[in-house]
This record gives sequence, C-alpha cells and structure tokens, in this order.
Amino acid sequence: MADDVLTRHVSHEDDGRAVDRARMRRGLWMQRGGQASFNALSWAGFLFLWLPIFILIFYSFNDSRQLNEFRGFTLQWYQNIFDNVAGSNVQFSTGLMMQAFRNSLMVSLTATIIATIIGTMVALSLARGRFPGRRYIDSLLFLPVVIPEITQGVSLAMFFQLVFEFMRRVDGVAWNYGFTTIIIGHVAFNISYVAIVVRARLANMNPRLEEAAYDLGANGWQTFWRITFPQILPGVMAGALLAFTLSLDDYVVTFFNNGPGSTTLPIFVYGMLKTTVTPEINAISTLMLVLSAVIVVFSLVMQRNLMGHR
Amino acid sequence: MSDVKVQLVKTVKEFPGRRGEDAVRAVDSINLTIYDGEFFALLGPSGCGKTTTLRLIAGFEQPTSGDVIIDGEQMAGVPAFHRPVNTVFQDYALFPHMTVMQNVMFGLKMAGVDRREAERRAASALELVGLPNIRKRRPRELSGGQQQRVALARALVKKPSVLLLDEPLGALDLKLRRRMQIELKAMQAELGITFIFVTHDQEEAMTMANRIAVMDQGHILQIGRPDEIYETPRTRFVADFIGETNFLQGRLLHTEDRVGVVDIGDDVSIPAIMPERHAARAGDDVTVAIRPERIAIQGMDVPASADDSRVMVRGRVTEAYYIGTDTRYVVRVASASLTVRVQNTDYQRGMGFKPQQAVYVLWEKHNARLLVD
Ligand SMILES: Nc1ncnc2c1ncn2[C@@H]1O[C@H](COP(=O)(O)OP(=O)(O)OP(=O)(O)O)[C@@H](O)[C@H]1O
Ligand SMILES: [Mg+2]
Repeated sequence: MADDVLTRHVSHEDDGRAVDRARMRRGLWMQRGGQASFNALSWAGFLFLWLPIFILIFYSFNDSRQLNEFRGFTLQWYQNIFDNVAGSNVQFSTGLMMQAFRNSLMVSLTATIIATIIGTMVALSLARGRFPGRRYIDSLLFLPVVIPEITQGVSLAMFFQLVFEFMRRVDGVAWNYGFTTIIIGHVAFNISYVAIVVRARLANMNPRLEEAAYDLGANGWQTFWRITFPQILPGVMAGALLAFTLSLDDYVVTFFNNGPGSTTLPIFVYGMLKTTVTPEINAISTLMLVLSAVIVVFSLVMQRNLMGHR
Repeated sequence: MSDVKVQLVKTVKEFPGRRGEDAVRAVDSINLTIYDGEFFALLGPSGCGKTTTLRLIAGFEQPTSGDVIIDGEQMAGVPAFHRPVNTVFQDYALFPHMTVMQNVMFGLKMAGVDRREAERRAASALELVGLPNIRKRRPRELSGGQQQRVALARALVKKPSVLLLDEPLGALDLKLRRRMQIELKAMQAELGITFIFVTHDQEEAMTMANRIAVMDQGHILQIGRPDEIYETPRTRFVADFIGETNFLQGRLLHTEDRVGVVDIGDDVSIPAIMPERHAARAGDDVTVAIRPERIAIQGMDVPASADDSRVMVRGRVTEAYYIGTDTRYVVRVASASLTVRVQNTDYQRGMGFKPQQAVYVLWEKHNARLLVD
C-alpha cells in the first residue's frame, strides 16, 4: 500500500517533469522561431523602406536613359544637371534648379527656427503652466499631425485669400502668395511636431531639478537657461531636425501657398516629373538624400557632444 | 532655550481633489517651533504629509492658510530662491548635465560669488563630505552614497540657516545608512546648522534627532525628545509607531492625582499615569500602554513584593521564545496577553520560565500609561 503510493507519487512527479520539459522545449522553439520570424520581418520592413531608394541611387549612376538596361557607371546625369541639361525637358536650367534649392533652404531654415521657438514655448507652457483649458489645448496639439495635409494646404490658402481681400479693401495694397505664406504654412504644421517632441522630453524630466535650482538661489530665468533648457535641448534639437526635414520636402502645403518666384525644390522637381522620370531627376533626388543624411548625422553628433555622456 | 528658527503657525496645505474626489489635506493645521541649532526629525508613515511640510518651509508650496516663519520673518510671498534654507532631496536631484564640481558650485554662482572663491568653497564642501577626488565626474557615474554626499555638499556650501533633508538616506543600504546617520549627526553638531530631517524610520529619528515630531494624516500628534516620545507617548498611534508596546483595554474606575485605576477584567485593576489634558472620566473605556522591556517576570516561589511604586499581578506564561539578546514571553494577565522582554545576561540566563507556568509580572508604576485614542 505504502509502496504503491510512493511509486505512484514518483511516476507522477516523472510525468510532471516530462511535461515540464516538453513545455520548455516548445517554449524554446517558439522563442527561437519567434526570433527568426521577427528578424525576417524586420529585414523585410527594412528592404521595403530602402529598396526603392537604393534603386533610385543605382539608376542615378546608370549609363543609360532606359530603366531596363544597365550599361555601367557614369556621372553624366550629375554633370547634366549642372550643365543646363535635363533630358528632353527644355525648360530645365541649372540656374532655376539652384534657385529652387536656395529657396527651399531659406524657407525650411526660417520656418524651422520660428517653429522651434514657438513649439518649445508651447510645450513649456503646456507642461508647466496652470491655466484653464490646458488639457484641451494639449489634445489640440495633435490636430495638425492627424488632419490631412491637403486640408491644411487648402485651408491656409483660403485663409490667406481672405487676409489679402481684407487688406486690399482696407489698405488698397495687393498682397500676394509668396515666401511669407509658404513659411507661415510650414511654421503652422511644424509647431505641433516640435511641441510634441519637446513635450515628451519635458515629461521625462525630473521636476525636482528645477526645484533644486530655485532652492540654490536661481530665479526663474536662470533656472530655465541653466537647468531646464540643457535638459530639453536634445528634444528641441530633435524637434528642429524633424521640422527641417518635413519642411524641406513639403509639397502639398507649399503647392497651395506659393506664388511667383517662390518655387521650392520639391515643386521644381515635380514640375520636371510631369513629362517623364529622367536620370537627372534621380541625380537630384540622390543629392537631396545625401544632404538630408549629412544633416541627420551632423545633428546626432552635435547632440551627443552637447549632452556629454548622457 | 535658544532662538526660534522656523515656525509653522496653524499651517494648512490642501491639494484640490481630482475629478470629484475630495480635496486632500496633506498638512492639517500644524503648529511647530524649531530652535536654532536643533536636529529636528519629522517622523511618520508614508503619506502623512512630511514631504509637504518640508516643501512648505522650502517654498515649493504655498500654504492654503496659516504661516511659515523663518528667522522671525513671514515667508508668505517669498520665493524659494530667496529663502535662507537649502534642501537635500530624497532622489538627490543632482543636475545630470553638470559635473560634481559644477553641481556644488551652482548655488555659489547664483549668489554671484567669484569663480576662484566659489571653487575654493566647493572644494572644501566636498572635502567635508569626504569626496575630495571626484570633482570631474558626472552624477550618473557615482554610487548612491556618493550622490547623497554630493547633494549634501551642494546644499551645505550655501551655508544655509536651515537645512531640509527629505529622507536623504532612504536609498542607501543598511550599513551605509547607519554610517551616514552618525556622520550627518556629527556634521550637524560641528556646523551648528539647524537640520530638519524627514524620515519614516523611527530608529533613524531616535538615533539622530534632538526632537521628534510624530505625524499622522497631516496632523502632528506629539513633539518631544526621543526619550519623551518613547517613554511617554500620548496617543495609541505614537506608542504603536515607535517601538513595541503592549496595549491593555479596560475601564477607568477612578482617578486621583493624575493616576487612573483601570479595571482590566477578572477583578484585576492596575494604576496608569494619565497624560496632561486627558479627558477620560470614571467609567470610560480606556487603553493602557506598557513597553515589553519594562515588565519583569518572577516565579511564584519568590515572595510577592508589591509596594507603592511597583505593580505586581499574577499571570500565566503562554509562550516563550529565546531570541539571542532577549527572551520573549507572552504572559496571560486577566483577559489580556502581555509581551515581556527579558534581557539575557549572565545573571538571568537559565531562569527560563516555561509555558503554562504561573508567574508574577511586575513593573514600576510610571511605565503604565493611559493613552488618548
Ligand atoms: N501635488 C500634490 N497633489 C495632490 N496631492 C498631493 C500632492 N502632494 C502630496 N499630495 C498628497 O498629500 C499627502 C501627503 O503627501 P506627502 O508627500 O507629504 O507624504 P509623505 O509623508 O512625504 O509620504 P512619503 O513617506 O511616502 O514620502 C498624500 O496623501 C499625497 O497623496
Ligand atoms: Mg515624502
């Protein structure tokens, strides 16, 4: 009787162990399988993102106007765009392209600087301020991120139309679309992005740090510049970078709000595209990609240096 | 006594309740007087309002009503950066983007001290806290104990009139904690700065403080020297929070000269000291507290020796534990169970009492105290 109980007990335990082991093995398998499929997925995602871009870069060096053949390496297309040639496009001129590029830089830089300052202030007042309706403004912040860009573009264009009409009636001055309207448009959508990024950084900041600064005799101004600002600087930089890249390649808002002589590079390239995709367009796009990459790397390095060992 | 340093008068701090919840009275009409050079501890369980009290003094919170007075001056409307106090925060709040030296020099820079002088003072502050060789490091490259010392140096370098410390040793391991308790205490005595120290650790408060305020739910229940708080707790909460205590429930029979006689059942009645302003009257249900180590235990073979100053009652041992330094007995007296702690010395060892043994328990009269519930 006692023996029986004992053996049963033992065999039970054995069963248990076997089950455990099987479960463990299955778990391991799932883990490994999961890992593998996860890796595959992330590679697929990576390819999906980058393959078209690699193809574009590849063809910008292809010594053929046709996409279906590869005839070796050339820098012809790069040379062309600096030699007033762009395939069959008779309107192309290097001067116009460079002008569009300068316009783009000017618009993006101005819009970024303004949006970064306003966006950071918005984030600060939302995180630190105590005023009625703060919570609603907080959620309104996401609006420009989610509403379609075309809505923004059209609504801004309409708004400017009304302003122009008003000014014409009051003052008799005929205002028109141009850099100012483009920059205002870019600032309008960039503020949200900057504010959201800075706000996230502020939310992660230890509020005791500011109190410690007050405690040690720093007033509000000193506390902001010596404690708060260095703490949120990575967020401000990230927000500015985001704003700059969004602004640099913005087409929709720019399209609805540009005027004579304020063509930016995306508008210019799109104008070229209307006829056909030429290798010269590939070359311009590749150059823009390189420029963006340089900016990103530069800002990353700068952030790291600024933050020391953080 | 010496000069008054910090005074709270009927100070109230109320936080608005969120979404229909009631407002929280984190500090509820506190009166507190702290003297120059004192090491004062605010002691209480989590959420009792210790940090809020400290923040009211530091100026991070404004009282809902009542006054905060430092060095005789009303602090209403005086911002934190103009108050003669400095704080050591619970999580230290060192500036992560500055080196140790820059952290310590920050307060001096803000005060407009010139660079060379600031460096000299910061260096000597770091020396004071025993960290002369880590000036160039950043806070996150330091151990918890080192961070704690940097926070201390950063506050002390300002030569504050009052130093506020919010559980500064909370994040340290027990051994380091013990060492820092002694160091802090020595430092305070040497510098003569008033320390207001928040802790929820009663042992820490007893070890370090000249006086302790015991807090609960926004109220101060009792203020006194550690021995006063321990020996003569006024309320059940204080007696329970500090050290171990026996509570005996009973009925007050009559009072005479601030001594009440309490019937604890089974025809046993014991005298108990009544605290000042105690409102209980004959016939009321009351609680009596006696510390376990103040009770002695005696065999029935020894002749009973009750007298005016000594109380002696019969009981029966129900449990006995040997725990190294002490032996702990639980003795049934009337309808109550009394814990008795007997220190194991060369003279008492081997006098063990066994469960079920009939014994006398005895104590000096002043050890039994009537409590306010
Ligand atoms: N800013 C605030 N808003 C709302 N309620 C608060 C705020 N600060 C504190 N309280 C509330 O006030 C009460 C006291 O908090 P306090 O931080 O002073 O407690 P404490 O004694 O320091 O506790 P602990 O030992 O856990 O630090 C708590 O109930 C807390 O929830
Ligand atoms: Mg606290």
